[in-house]
Amino acid sequence: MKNMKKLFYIAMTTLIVGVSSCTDSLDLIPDYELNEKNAVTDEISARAAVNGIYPFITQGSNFSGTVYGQLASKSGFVDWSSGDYDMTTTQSNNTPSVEYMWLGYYETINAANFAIDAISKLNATQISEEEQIALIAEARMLRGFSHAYAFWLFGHWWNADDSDVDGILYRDELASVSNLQIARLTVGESYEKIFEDLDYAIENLPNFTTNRKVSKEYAKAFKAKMLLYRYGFDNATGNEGLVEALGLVNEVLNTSVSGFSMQGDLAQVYEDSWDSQENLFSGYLEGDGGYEL
Amino acid sequence: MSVIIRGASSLSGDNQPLWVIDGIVQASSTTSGNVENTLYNLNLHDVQSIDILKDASATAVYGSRAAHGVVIVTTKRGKPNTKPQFEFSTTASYVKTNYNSFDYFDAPEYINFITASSKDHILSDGFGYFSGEIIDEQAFWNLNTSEYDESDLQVIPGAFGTGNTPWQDIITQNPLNLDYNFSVRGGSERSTYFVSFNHQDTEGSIITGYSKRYTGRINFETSINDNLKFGVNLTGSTRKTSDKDGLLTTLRQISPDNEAFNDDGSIYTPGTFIENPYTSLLNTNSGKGINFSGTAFLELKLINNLKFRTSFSNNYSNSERLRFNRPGTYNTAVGERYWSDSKSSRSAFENTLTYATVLNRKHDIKVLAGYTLEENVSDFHVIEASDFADNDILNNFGSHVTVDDIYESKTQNALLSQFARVHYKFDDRYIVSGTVRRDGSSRFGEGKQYGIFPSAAAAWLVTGEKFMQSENIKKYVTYLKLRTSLGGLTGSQNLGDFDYITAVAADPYNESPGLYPASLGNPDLQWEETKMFDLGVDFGLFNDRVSGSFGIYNKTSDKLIYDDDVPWSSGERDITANVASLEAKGIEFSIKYDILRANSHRLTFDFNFSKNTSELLKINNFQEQLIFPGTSNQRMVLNVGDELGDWFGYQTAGRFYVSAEDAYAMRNNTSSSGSIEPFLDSTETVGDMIYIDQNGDGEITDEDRVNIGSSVPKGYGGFGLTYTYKGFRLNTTFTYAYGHKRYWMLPNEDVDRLAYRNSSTLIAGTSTILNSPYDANYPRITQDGIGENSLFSDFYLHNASYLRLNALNLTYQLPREIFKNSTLNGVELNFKATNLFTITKYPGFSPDGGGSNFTDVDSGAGDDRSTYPAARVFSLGVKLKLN
Repeated sequence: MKNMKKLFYIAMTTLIVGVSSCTDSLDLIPDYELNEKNAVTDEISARAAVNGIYPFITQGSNFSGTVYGQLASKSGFVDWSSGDYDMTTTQSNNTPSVEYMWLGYYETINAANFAIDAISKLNATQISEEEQIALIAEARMLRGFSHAYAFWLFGHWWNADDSDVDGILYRDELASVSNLQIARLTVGESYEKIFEDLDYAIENLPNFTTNRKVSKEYAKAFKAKMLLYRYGFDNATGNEGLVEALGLVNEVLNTSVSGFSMQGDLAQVYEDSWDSQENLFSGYLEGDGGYEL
Repeated sequence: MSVIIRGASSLSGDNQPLWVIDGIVQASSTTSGNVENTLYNLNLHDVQSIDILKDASATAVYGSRAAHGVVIVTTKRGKPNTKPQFEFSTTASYVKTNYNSFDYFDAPEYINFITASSKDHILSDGFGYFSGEIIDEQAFWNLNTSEYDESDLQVIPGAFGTGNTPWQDIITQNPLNLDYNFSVRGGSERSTYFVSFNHQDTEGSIITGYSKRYTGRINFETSINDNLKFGVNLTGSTRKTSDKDGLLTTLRQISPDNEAFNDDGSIYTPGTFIENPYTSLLNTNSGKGINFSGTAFLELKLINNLKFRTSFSNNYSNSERLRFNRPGTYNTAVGERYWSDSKSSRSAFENTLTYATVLNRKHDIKVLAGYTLEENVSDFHVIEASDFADNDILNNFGSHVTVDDIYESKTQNALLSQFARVHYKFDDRYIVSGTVRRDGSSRFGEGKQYGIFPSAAAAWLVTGEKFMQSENIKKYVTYLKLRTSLGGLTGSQNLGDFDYITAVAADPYNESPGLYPASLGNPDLQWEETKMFDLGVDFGLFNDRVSGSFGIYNKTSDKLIYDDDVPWSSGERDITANVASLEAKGIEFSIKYDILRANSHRLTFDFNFSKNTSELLKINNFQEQLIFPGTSNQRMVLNVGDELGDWFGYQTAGRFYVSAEDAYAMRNNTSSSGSIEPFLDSTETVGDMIYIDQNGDGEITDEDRVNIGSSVPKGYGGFGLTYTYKGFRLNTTFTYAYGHKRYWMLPNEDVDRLAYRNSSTLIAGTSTILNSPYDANYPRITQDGIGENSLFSDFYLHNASYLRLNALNLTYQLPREIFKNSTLNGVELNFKATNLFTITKYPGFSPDGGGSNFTDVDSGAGDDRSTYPAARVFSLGVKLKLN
């Protein structure tokens, strides 16, 4: 009888310890925070992932005022950014902090890669194929766009020699600890990669509806701009690239999409700011754009 | 209060030991006075004993959390078969703040200084923002001459206020603090109990600041039969605070020439960025805290020698903060209300099986196996709104115009441990023990959650040997024990709850939801590992008249977690990673000597000494140096092989530029075009700092920075004397630390740019603005900031060696004979003086404290932010015992 009691105690103890030895308690899921695996699950969150790229472009001035000051200084027109004017900017010596512009471009690129990566993984039950491709095209347009800015500020975009090693760091994967170091592309490769994104966007983006988002027309105009950068300084290759650029611009001017038209009075374009019909894509700043106006 | 045991061994985290109260691991590690801090709510009257565990073998049972040592607090219990014993005590303390003769300028001194410094500034660097508000710029241009000196500069009429307000006297006080404590303890044959209640009422050194606390405790234990014991420890507290410490900053920000009130009696507001302390006094900054901690345990004797213990505890704390800032507060145009609420819950479930037996009277075996699970959940809410029609009464949420912020966050983590320990003692002479534990943490990603940490220890009780038993030896050596712990390994997890995950957060765009990657998760993160080697001797000599211990240790910490720089093309600047290895070495020595051992007279002297150094062994990953506190603000730059706590900055020459020629002579040269190349700054002149050009290249650059001393003391400890005579007991405790340098930030900030602030007669009053550079203590100080005198240099580091009489206690127990046949059976009177005197050359408020301690690894360890003055406390108390 006494032994029975002991056995009972031991059994009970084992039970208490056994039941509680449940290792699941370590697999916690963060509250109020998603991660790269579970964030995008349907059409709505796919749209949100693409929306999430825009604030990096519209907030701050990495894609507007500041960058043109830097570029104008680099060209020697003004001395607003001494590091660019004197051509002394390096990775470790970059006053004023050009490094934050570098960071800004790659934050945008990383947000685009997150969207592309997550949306590509969705299956037909989660999103229609048409919507999936359109959203990927939008994200790729913005990825090409950001890489172009990084190229303008940090690469030899003007060099006709494709083998110039000072191209860009091209990132097409969401950053993780396993892909932190990436080799620099040559100038020729840089243009190729940017054009790949822009061509995909031209092919798959829907037509213009609002200037708060990129569209097929914007992709064409932006590609034309890139072609001018690529071939405008290059006398050797003839004018093929320039002709292609002109073609793209004319296509945009000749399409009729509602909401887009050229304005007669240039001053009025500035007055109307982002409400101007002439804008295909503008850094919208009201409300959710990031600034209280 | 903070404690550091055996030197720092982590780069992040606070290097604080683990506090264990009645077997329950506490969430807080320091006793800072925040409402959130649960340790603050411990009623010290309830404490029976405090033990500190240092070596790896002893702390192994607590595992990863014990990497920085363990402080074990045991609260009082009742004794079986005793009548209820009541104890009532009350203490009143008078607190006298001590600013170490730091004295602000009064209005005439301030006006005199600012006038001189504005002129100095204009003469060497032209008109600046502040000097232009003091000196008439138009009148200067009207002179229309290039031949001018300081007598040509005219103060603008009305540039200074008409007041002479002693702000410091107005807002500070020497408060009286009260403490009441009541407890009762006792027990029957099978049950014991201890119940206590405490009320503490303290006022701040700033008027209207206070903390009121109520604490209660019930410790109850009962044995149902010989095999089953059950007990609960319950403690709860509520606390209300009004935190006015911010006024010490406000005080510095307002000059004495400002009037306190307008003519109509309303509070005068000098400007958007200057806050009148009277406004601050009317602002609300209150806190409310509720803490509850409950533990229940069951002890079961399964078979002879085998005991099972299970306990569950929950520690719940809820703290609220409420702030209301009136218009007139720093940069505040409309009333602002802020409310936050944080709740945290810590649950621990612990199970242990203990087997203890002695075989053949020689083999003493103890085996312990255990399983523990700990879960922490905390959440946080904020509401912030502004613009109220009324700032006194109708200022609740709901009466606002604008909502500025609504925020909610929640986080959680879990720690799971399995461990086994064997302790074997042979013939009371040889002891060996070993522990193996497996810790799992939710803070690591897949495959990295678990770490296995073994440790072992051995000891030899030399006096247990036959050859030590002879009377001749016993006369001299009564006790001698050699001990070592080898390969003790513990892990730490000083990192955020979900650093291994790439987080995705929300940010709207164009009135629609948006998602973006908000961090870069590091799935490779793994446990920090600390390996400790220990060698020590414990001794008792001359009939135990002299006793003590001496020990050395060596702690190697590997895979330390810290920020690691990553290429910015990842969209992030740094991630949390296992980046470095450290080695800490030290010695510890303590001795106690009974000088007098007579029945009525007893005099005891005790002394202890510790010394610790930590060296950076290696850095992994992308980083080449560890920079503290940050790359933009460098005060410590550690390369492999450097010691932790070494300051890194410019070396100064020990005197200022005394003449214009002096400044000129130090300059590099004159360029071919005839322009003068400055040594460091174009305004450098008489009264400026001279930095040593270490590499001799003729200019002062980053490369001229060198190691300029250490923030880690060469040694520290304490000593004391205790004297007992009949009912009297006199006890003194001294503490000391020496050989380290602290960074007094306050003068550095003044030199950098005084702006609207007031300075001290000790700082600006002894600067080269008012004194000849031969006699001055500080370089030029101006409101706009001039030259490069504020670079981080040895000039702002001060020897912080000190010796302090920490406490003097005098107690008197009334003779027992008085209380014959009375319910009252004991009266104790006590007097205590804290912080009576400090011998130091350190010029700041206090050679320790001031917002930092030796505990952080980074430069925070030696930063003196002058946050709060030191205080002398005199307490008088009486304790009554009733039976």
